[in-house]
Amino acid sequence: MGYQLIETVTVGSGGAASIEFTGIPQDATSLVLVISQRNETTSGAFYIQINNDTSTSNYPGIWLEGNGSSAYSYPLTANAYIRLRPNRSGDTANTFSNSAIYFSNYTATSTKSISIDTVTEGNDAAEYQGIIAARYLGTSGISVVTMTAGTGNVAQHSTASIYKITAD
Amino acid sequence: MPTPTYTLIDSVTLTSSASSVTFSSISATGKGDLVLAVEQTGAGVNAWINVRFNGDSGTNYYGVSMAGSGSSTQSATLTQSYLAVGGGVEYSDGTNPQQAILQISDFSATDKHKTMLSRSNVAVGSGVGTAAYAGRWANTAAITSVAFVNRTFAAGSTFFLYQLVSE
Repeated sequence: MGYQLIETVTVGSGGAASIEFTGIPQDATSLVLVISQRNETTSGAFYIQINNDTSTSNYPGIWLEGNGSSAYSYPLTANAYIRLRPNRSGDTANTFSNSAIYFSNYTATSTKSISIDTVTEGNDAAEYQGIIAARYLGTSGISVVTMTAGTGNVAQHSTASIYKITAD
Repeated sequence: MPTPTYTLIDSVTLTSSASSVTFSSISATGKGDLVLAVEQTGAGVNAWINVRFNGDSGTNYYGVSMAGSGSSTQSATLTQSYLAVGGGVEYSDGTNPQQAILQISDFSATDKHKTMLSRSNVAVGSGVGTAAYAGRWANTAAITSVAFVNRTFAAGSTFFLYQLVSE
């Protein structure tokens, strides 16, 4: 079987400061991370960090997004993480963002290509659908992925699942 | 209902440059999708990665793309002798790779044209951009081969072909 669930995290009552996958096995070709997320606060950011790497130069990328009336494209620069738009406090209750993230050749000792499809759906006037080209410039295999809200906690009922695609 | 599974059909890691990469003899067994994951470093300014099915070089491929370069956006409709993978703004500069993920729906059906959704990314270098592409191959044949064409792919480029089996 080539597509295997490594772990799922569901945030419980009271929220969580972060969602973290550690000890990701280095025995597959690709990783897929699927996120259903909401921030407890009104923070407009949701961060993904790899291998606890806080370098502000290791997460370059390019956004393309639409908000229902216009399309925009801009670079991701000088961040110590990959930044996504979140669902957040103030959005309609029970609404969560949805993101699917593909990490190619994640065990390589070179930099890593990352493809992201993401959407917010808060049932209000400011919703976004985005695609992102990202790259992690660290040269160790990806063994830790950490997700945090811009401020405050990740809300209860948020989920994240990480899968590996194996070559057997 | 069985649980869908990914099965690796074949993979290629180039040890020297190649003008094309072909997965042939794909077995049209069972229903499901094909998924291809590519990471390639063949340089080509404003060039698309192109994909062709069953060796069909006719003008039978139709698509819509959208792309962002980090400062501008674009969208285009295309009628070509291949499906493009991406939006045409993103390309490998020969050092920084282009990543592409393709999903071909219901590849073994013989009663419908085949559709493909793809994503293409270059996050670093002179050819940065991100793109999505929706394409259709106007042919009802089951897909038995997939070829990446019209590009010289550099050594070290990787290509994985999976079947997402639905039954």
